[in-house]
Amino acid sequence: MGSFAAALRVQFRVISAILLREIGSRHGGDAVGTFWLLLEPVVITLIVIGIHQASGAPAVQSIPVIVFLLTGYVPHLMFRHAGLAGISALNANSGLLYHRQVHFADLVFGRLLVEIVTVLIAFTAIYFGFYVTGMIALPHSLGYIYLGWFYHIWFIITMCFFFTGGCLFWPILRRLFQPLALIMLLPYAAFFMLSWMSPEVRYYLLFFPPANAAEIMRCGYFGDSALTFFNIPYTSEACLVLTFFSLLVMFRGRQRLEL
Amino acid sequence: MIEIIDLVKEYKTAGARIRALDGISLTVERGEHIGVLGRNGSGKSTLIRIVGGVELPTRGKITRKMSVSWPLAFRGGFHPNLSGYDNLRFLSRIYERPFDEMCAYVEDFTELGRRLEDPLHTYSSGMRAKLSFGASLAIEFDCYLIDEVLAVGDQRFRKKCRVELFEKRRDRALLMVSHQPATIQQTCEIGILIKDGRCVDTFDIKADRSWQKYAKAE
Repeated sequence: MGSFAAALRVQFRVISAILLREIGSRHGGDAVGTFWLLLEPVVITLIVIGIHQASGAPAVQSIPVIVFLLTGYVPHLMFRHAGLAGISALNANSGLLYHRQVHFADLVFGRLLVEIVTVLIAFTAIYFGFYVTGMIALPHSLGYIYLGWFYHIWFIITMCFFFTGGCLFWPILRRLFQPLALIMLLPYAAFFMLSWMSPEVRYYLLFFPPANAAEIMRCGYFGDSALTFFNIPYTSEACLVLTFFSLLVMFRGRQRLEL
Repeated sequence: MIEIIDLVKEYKTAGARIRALDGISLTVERGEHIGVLGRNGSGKSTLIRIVGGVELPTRGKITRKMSVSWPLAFRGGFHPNLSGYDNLRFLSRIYERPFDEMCAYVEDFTELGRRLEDPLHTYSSGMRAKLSFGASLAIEFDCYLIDEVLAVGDQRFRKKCRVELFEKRRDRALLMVSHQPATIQQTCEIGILIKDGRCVDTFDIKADRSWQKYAKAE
């Protein structure tokens, strides 16, 4: 048990060291990138609101649009950034794997964590911005917002591990990530409520943890005033199974890593 | 002691499997200095990388009962976009060494001066080698893994290495790849010859001169 605690301490030290250097290179060297991260959801929101208003839909419609984007599009943004950060960890950070206490998973997790925190801060800032301008209200229940983020983040971590480890088995995944991420906009329910979908489509969408997580967050925002669909026990089970497989891919992938 | 038992490493290249190591067994005792001889592509660097834990073997087992440095080689060990100081800071965090002491030692050993503030990708291979050696000497390992990098250093650097590693730290173990017979002769007592991923011969460097014909045959 003593050696396990010691190993845990080493890992904690390694991950915090990676975190510190990632923050430095992420935000120090790339201020424009950080700024764009904040701006992108806002621009998309304004475009979608613009389209809604140009199409003659009532102005009140523009309010839920922001909520879809904050609960679906912003998590999708996190998914995309985290996935890319994980995949590029193979190139950028591989020299650090020369040190035995730095594990492959640490590198990926360190980068992942920076992206997660960055997007969470962006989310809060955007929410605050829209709230101050009176475009959205405070959420009905904060607990559901946290729960939704919890599942979003859990899913994103598994996907990031899966794609990063998977790249070592099938290098083509590296190129496939962007198109796959685009397709993932659908299960992220970034631009619609599940209640708008037909029961069949909804049935299939709810197989995806992010669709559930987005609806959990919407339930948190709207409370009982909107119809939301999600299944918390299923989402937990699905994420648990994905965690198992993603770790498997990750550790099997390490074996193949050539440095 | 490091115990290496029946190490096999295979790489997949376009369609084919290449067996870089084909059942190597080796023991490195505390304070032992081993020179690894062999032609290019015989598996020397692969052996060093696996002993250092950078790559994992396809089969076989390694037991490390002393602290082993990372492979001091042409690549790896550092982050290319971070400055020398930031890389040292990272190392001081993961190896739990006081940053100030490490810096002082490395500044003195490498004589890189203000260049330590520049990102690593702007360094020449000789400067990188200095930084690798300086940092690993500041951390203090029981066993140093050296893959060829001494060759790129200037006279002054080699002299410092001789004093700091081969003389002051004579009690440390050494596993070293070098194509320069003089370097092997000066620093090692035991030589092993690797061919096609197998260990085909072992020499007593000081007593047995026959190893030099292999070195020359290269």
